[in-house]
Amino acid sequence: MLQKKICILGAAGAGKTSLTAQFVYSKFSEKYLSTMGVKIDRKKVVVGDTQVNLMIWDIHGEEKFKKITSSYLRGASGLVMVVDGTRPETITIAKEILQRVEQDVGDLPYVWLLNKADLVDEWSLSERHLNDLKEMNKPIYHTSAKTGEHVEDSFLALAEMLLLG
Amino acid sequence: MSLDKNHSDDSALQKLRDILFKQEASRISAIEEVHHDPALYTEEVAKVIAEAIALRSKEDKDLGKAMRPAIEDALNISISENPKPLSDALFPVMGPAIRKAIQHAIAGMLQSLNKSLEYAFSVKSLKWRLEAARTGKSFAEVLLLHTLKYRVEQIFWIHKESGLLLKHLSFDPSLDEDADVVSSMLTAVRDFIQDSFAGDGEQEVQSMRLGDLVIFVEQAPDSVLAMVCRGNPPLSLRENMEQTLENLQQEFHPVLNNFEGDATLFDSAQEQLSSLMLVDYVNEEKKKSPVKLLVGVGLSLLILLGYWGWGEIQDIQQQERWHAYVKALKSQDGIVVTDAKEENGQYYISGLRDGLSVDPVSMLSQFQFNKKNVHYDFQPYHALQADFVLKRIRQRLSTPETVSMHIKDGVLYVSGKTSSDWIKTFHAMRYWIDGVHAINDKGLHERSSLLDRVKKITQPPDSIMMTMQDSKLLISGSSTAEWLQHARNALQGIKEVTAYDDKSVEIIDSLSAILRRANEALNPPKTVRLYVTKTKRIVAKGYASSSWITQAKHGVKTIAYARGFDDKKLQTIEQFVLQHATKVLLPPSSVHLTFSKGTLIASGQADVAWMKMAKGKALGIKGVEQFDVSNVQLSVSSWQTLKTVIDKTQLVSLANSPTLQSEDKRILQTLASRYQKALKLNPSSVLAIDFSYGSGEKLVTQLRYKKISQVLAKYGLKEKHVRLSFHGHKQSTQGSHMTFTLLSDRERS
Ligand SMILES: Nc1nc2c(ncn2[C@@H]2O[C@H](COP(=O)(O)OP(=O)(O)OP(=O)(O)O)[C@@H](O)[C@H]2O)c(=O)[nH]1
Ligand SMILES: [Mg+2]
Repeated sequence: MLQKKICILGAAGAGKTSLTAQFVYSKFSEKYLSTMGVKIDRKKVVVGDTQVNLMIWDIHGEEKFKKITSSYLRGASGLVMVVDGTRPETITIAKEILQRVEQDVGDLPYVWLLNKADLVDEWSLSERHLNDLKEMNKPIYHTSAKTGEHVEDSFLALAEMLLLG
Repeated sequence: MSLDKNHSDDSALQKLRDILFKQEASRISAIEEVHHDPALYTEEVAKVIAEAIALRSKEDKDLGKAMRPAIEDALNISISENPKPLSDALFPVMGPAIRKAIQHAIAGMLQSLNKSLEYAFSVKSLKWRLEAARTGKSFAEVLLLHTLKYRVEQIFWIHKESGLLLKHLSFDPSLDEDADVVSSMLTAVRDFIQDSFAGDGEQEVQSMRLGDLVIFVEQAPDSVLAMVCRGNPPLSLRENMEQTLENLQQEFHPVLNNFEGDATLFDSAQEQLSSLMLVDYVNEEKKKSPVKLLVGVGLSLLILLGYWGWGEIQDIQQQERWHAYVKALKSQDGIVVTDAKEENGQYYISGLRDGLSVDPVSMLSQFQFNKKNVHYDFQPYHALQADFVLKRIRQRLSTPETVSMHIKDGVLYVSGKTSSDWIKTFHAMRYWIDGVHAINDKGLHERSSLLDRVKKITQPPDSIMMTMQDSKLLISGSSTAEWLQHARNALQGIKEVTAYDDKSVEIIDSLSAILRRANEALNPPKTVRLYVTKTKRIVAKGYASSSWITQAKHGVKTIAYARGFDDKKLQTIEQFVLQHATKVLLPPSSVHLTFSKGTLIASGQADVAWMKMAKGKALGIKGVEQFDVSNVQLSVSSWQTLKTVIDKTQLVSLANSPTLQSEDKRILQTLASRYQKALKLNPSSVLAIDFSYGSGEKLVTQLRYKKISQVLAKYGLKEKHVRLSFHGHKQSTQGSHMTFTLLSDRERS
C-alpha cells in the first residue's frame, strides 16, 4: 500500500482540526481547542484501484508568534489550504503561508477549502477575494466541517492529484 | 614350445605394432610418464579439474560426500594453524547466520519466560503482589520490572524526510495497527525537539523516555531507526542498532532516495531488523522454597524407613524395579525421558519435564528407590496437553474462581466476571500464553468496582480524572462548577467513599478561568482590558484596531462558557484618537474634526488664534501624523478681534457710590454681547474682571460688583463665565476702577 504525507495549513481557527476530524472520524465539535504543534491522523482512501494511506499532519494555525516550522512540512506530497469564509483576512494568511512553504519545500499540489460553508450568512468573502483564489488555478471547495459538505470530496481530490500527478 | 612360438609370434606382433602404432606407442608412454610423474600429472589434472567437478556435481551428490571429510580436515587444519584468513573470508556470510542464531535464542528465551511466570505462585510473587498493590502498578508490570533486564518492544524504521513508516516490528502484534501514526508522531516529536532545543543542525535526538519505556533514535542520512525498549538495554544494543541502520542505509540508499510511499520495497529489511528484537531476563539463582525442603526431608525419611523394612534386595529385582519406574515416569504427562541408565549402583535419568507434572522423586518410594541413588537431569519444557496448558495459565495469572477457562480446538475461552485489574493483567500477559492459537475472551466481563459506581453516579466529563485510594476518592482535571457541585452532592450518598479530594479540580466556567481563556483566545493589545461580568459576559474596554475588534467579536464565540461580548466601551483607534484630539484642541462649534489613517482633518470656520494654537498642538497628539487644515475658513469676526475690543473696556465709578449709571449699563450690555460672540468661537472663553479700589472702598466695591453681575446675568453670562479679582490699595483713591480681559480656558489655567 502507498503512503503519502499531506499537511493541512491555514490561519488559526480556520477549521483545520475540525476538517480532519470530519474526514477521518466523521465527527464535529463546536469546541475550539487550538492545536499545539501538530496532530497526526491516518485515513485510508482508494484512488482508482490503488489504496493510499494518507498521513494527515494537522499543523497549528499560523499566528504572529506561532509561525509554522518548515520541518513539519518536509517530505509532504500535498497540501490542504484552509480559509475561514467568515474571515476574509484568513485568505491573506493562507497565501503568506503558501508562499513560505513554496520557498522552503518547493511547489506541491494543493486544494483550497473555503470552510464554514454552513455559516454562509456570515460569509464575508467578496467577489474580488474569490476571483483572487480562482486565478491560482487550483481546485476550490466550499466545505463545512460541521455538516461534512464536500469534506471528503476535497481530500479525495487531493489524493487523486498526488497519484495522477 | 607353444611358449616359444608364442614368443616369436609376440616379437613379430611387436614389430607389427611398432610399424602400425609407433606414434601411438610413444604417445602412450608420454601419457604414462605424465601419470607416473606427480608434478606433471598434477599439471594435467589441473587443466580439467574445475570442469570435472562441475560436471560431476551436476549429476549427483557423491562428489560432495566424497570430498567432505577432506574439506573438513582441511578446514580444521587451516583454523588451527591460522584462523584469520578463513574468518575474514567467512565474515560476510557469518553476520546473518549469527543473527539468525540470536533469533532462535530469543525464541528460546521467550520459552524461558516460564521461569519468571512461575513466580506467579511462588513466595516471591506474594511479595511482588504486595509491591504492586503498594505502588499502584499492575502485577504484570512489577513482574516485568523484576524479571526483565530489557526487552525491545517495537522497532520503527522511518523515512526521514516524510516520517512515513518503512518497516515495523513489534513484540505485541496488536500494536501494528497504529504503527504508521506512531511513526509520524515520533518524527514530529523529533523535529520539534530538534527545532526547539538543538542549537545547530549537528545535535540530534538520540533517545526519549516515556514512563518506563526508552525510545532510542538512530539517524542515517535518509532514514531513522527508532527502538522502543522496556527496562535497561545494554550499550551493545545501541551499537547493534547503529550498525544495522548503517547497513540498511547502504543497501537501500537508492530506494530511500526515490521513496514515493511504497513501503513494500523494504520488505526485505525484515530479517536485519528482527535481529534487533532482543530480550534478556534477570538470572535468578534457584532457591528452594521451604515447603519443598520439608517435603524432601519427609520423603527421605519414608525411604529410609522403607529401606529398613524391606531388608536386602536382590540386584535382579532392582533392575526390574528400575525399568518399572522409568516406564511409570514415561507414562506421566509432562515428563519426557530421553535417557535412563545405571552405573555402579547409581541411577541416572535425563529428559524434559514440565514444572506442573508429577514430581519424579515422589514416585521413587513406590519403586523402593533411595533418592540418594537417583540423579535427575531434567530440562524444563512446556507440555502442550490442554489440561497442562490450562493449569499453567490459571496458576500464572492467579485466575480467580469466578473466571472459567477451557480450551477447544486450540482456542482458549475465558469467561466470567472479575476485577478490572485482573482483566488488565490478563490482557498484558496474553501474548505470553503458549499452547493455544487464539484467545476468546468475549465472555470476560468486569465486575464493577467502587470507582465504576462512583463514575456511573457522578457522570464525570472527559476532562475529569478519578482514582480511588482505598476508600478515598481523588478527583482532578477540570469541570464546570455545576458538575462539581453535583458530584459533591452525589458523593454524600455513597457511603463507601469515606473522603474525597477535589482541590486540584480547575473550574472551567469560573469568571477567572473564562477571563484567562478570553485573554488567550483574543490576545488583546495593551490598550484593551478585558473583564468578565457576573453574567459571564466579556467586556472589552479601551481602544484597538478595527480588525482586532472584528476578530474579537468572532473570537468570543469560541470561548467556552462566555455568554456574549460587550464592546460599548471599546473604541477603534480612530475613535480614540479623535476623542483625544477633541479634548486637546477644543474646537469651536464652527469647526468639525475627523480622523482617518493618521491624518487629523479640521473643516469649517475658525479664527486665527484657534488655528495657531491647534497647529501647534495637533502633531503632539499620539496617533496624529498629519494635520490637514486646508478646509478651514478663517473667520472674520475672530475671537482675537473681540478680545482686543473687550480688553479695551474700562469702567470707572465715583467714590462711595454703588449705583450704576445708565452709561455703565450700556457698556456692560455691549460687553456681554461681545463676550457671547467670543464664547461661540471658543467655548472656553472666560471674562476676567479686575476691581481695583482704594482704602475704605472695599464694601462699596463689593456692592458694585453685585450690581454688575446682576446686569451681566441678565445678558446671559453665568458664574462659570466670569473670573474675578480684587486689588485693594493703601492710599485712598477716588472711587474704584474696573478692567475687563477676555481669556481662553487654557490661559486661565
Ligand atoms: N460552523 C462551523 N464551525 C466550524 C467549522 N469548522 C470549524 N469550526 C469551528 O471553528 C473553531 C475552530 O476550529 P478548529 O478546527 O479547531 O480550527 P483550527 O484551524 O484547527 O485552529 P488551530 O488549531 O488553532 O490552528 C471550532 O470552534 C470549530 O467548531 C465549520 O465548517 N462550520
Ligand atoms: Mg487545529
